[in-house]
Amino acid sequence: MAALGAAARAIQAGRCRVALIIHAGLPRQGVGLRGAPPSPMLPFEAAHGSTLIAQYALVARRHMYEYGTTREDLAHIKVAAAYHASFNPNALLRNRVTVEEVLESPPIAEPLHRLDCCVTTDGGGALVVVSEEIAASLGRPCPGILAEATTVRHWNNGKVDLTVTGAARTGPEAFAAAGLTPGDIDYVSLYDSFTITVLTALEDLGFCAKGEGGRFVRDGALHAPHGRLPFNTDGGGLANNHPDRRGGMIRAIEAVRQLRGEAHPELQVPDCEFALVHGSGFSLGNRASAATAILCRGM
Amino acid sequence: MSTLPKVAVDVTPESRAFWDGLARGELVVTWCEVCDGHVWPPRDRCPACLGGPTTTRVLSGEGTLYSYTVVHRPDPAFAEAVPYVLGYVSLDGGPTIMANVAGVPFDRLEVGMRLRLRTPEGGTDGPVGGAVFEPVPGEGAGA
Repeated sequence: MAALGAAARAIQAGRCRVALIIHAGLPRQGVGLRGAPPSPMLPFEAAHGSTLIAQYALVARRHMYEYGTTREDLAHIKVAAAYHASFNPNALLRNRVTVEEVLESPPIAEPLHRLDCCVTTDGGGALVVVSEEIAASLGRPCPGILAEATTVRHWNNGKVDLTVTGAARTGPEAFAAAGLTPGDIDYVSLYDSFTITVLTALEDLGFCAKGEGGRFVRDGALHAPHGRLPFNTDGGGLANNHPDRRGGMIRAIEAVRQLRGEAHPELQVPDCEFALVHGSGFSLGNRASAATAILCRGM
Repeated sequence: MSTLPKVAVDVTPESRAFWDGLARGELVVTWCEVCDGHVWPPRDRCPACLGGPTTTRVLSGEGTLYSYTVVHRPDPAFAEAVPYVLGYVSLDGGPTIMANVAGVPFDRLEVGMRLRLRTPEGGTDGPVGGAVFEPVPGEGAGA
């Protein structure tokens, strides 16, 4: 997702007119990025049996402590993703699930259970970013990139604040640059390695107040086409696909489909004018990158 | 929970005091004398003021549970220990560090509970594995 901004800036600067962004992975075939990337924190995590999922579980537990968020709240996120995936013939998991099924799935790292976790799939995707001149010559609507922001989070010299993510920085920055507010957004594609990844992103991007994410996602808020904020209509990483560390690509492509009116007819958001795409990487709250892009419908 | 494994950690010149301290049952963190504050993870320069070399300080070994998870799908080295408790402990007067928690039934775990570093049995001459905390007797949830 961060590559979107790099491509847009290269085109704006006249260094190129067409940029191709590709992401693909074959983790189910055992090909790819295995093992944790190097970090000064690794020895202090490995000595205690930390896992990637456990790191997200620690965020979830802290969020529950600070804000009263529940496992049921998190489950609503999976329920929405699974509903959307049921319309996607290419999704790995096409079965709809209930809140109860999420709660009763086996624990992985509590409070996260199996159905709070993304799938692992092979897969990939590509985005073509072009200059306005070329876009005008293509004869079909080309969504535009209004704004983009990136940042990193780290362990902050041992003063961790697990519930705050990079989105707290990229969200406001991207909205300010686009001249929009969260209320203007019709559809969001959010990287969803785990249910808690989505909940914290919704809060930090400003779709609700910090700590209100649990209440925000209830009552079908994330369901397309008529929820308050339809998300990940491809089914997301929670149900559709997640090729190792490249889960953001398909989310960005789905946002383009929504803005073009080419999403599944049952899930197409009516009059979709503005979409937000957000990705985070690595270990939420402790060391992570984050990127946000705001896209608009093309002419 | 069965016994937590002792994982061979990559000890650096900067982190040796921390690991050796754990073997004695002490929490030793690197310290910036200019900022008068901890430096975490251990390093020989302060990330805030870039001053150095850092010194070390022995903390009380007590702290507060910042967050925790009961791990069922483990790191392979911990396969025999599942389920085990991984947490972040905010050390009194120091950083918030990752650690294990033992000696508490899972349903009694609570963010905010007071913990102290468990002294390793017998002690050793070198790294003993991770920092394992246990409840401070007679103290419930704190800050």
